[in-house]
Amino acid sequence: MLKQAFNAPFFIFAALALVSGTVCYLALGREIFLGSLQEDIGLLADVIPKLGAAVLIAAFVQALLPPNFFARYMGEETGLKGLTFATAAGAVTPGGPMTSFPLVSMLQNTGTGRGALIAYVTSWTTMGLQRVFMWEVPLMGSEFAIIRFVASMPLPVIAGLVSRLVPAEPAAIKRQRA
Amino acid sequence: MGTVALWILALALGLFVAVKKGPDTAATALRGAIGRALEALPGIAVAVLTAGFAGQLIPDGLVAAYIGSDSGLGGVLFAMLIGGMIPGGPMISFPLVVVLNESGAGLVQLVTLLTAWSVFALHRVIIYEIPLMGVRFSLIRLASSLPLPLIAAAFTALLLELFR
Repeated sequence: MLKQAFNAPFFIFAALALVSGTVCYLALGREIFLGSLQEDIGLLADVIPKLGAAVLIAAFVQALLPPNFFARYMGEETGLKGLTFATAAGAVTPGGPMTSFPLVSMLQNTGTGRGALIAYVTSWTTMGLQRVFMWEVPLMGSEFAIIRFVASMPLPVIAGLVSRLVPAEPAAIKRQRA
Repeated sequence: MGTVALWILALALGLFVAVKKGPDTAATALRGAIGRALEALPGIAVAVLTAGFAGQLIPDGLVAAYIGSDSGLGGVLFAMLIGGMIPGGPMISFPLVVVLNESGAGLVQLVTLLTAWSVFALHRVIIYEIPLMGVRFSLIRLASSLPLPLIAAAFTALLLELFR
């Protein structure tokens, strides 16, 4: 756990904070530096309790509705229904690309169509609840998060439908002709 | 939604999980959540500090001129371009969005930027998507996603028009 907390981005940001803080102090003066520091601490004091509640909400939603619950229907259902299930599965998939892409790859191997796969990836990236709760709600506020989430709801289905316009693999077409 | 409302929702969901799926499932979810929060915390702290200092150093009016709420379609397109070029995960993008928000970026433009970052994120395409799914899948997905940031911008503008 410590390894994941103190990873490369942490040290990059720690260095950036040091550099930008020093430049701020030297260029803008002590007062603005301390003002900014105070504001940041205020923001963190607001963010940390929200983050605590947010990770709990995301974890409990995932316990109730695991991504596999929706993913089961992605392949079987065609048309808009499959894309809708894919959207729901993407939104409740936790974690980063190292957990979601193996699931996409597995679904592809079990015959899920390209439209549903692309809807799933789009949903996980734009509407992933874990990211919304861990980052967006604490840092940007609930109103911003809700507006962006609602505006993103049609996106996975649109991407899925557009991707279905592209013909199947050239190799598959050649095989069909032969 | 305030902090109190979030905690009430969290506790209600936790109780529901414990009743419906058993206390063991709830405890596992709880442990996972605590671990995730502790992992994210140091990163969020340094990112917020950087965002704050950077916000002081950015000249007033610069952000508003390019991606402010009055920057129109040009601002939306510019936000889409910046979003598509952010190299990294939420730890990079969200602090950036906080700075831009505080220095005068418009809400529609920020939604566009976040959507572009979400769907294009080239580092993720190169590290995870192409090795696991193949170049063809990635190219088709990227092409299908090209209009999405603009569609999100249009829906956001519509929502603001309807509810504000």
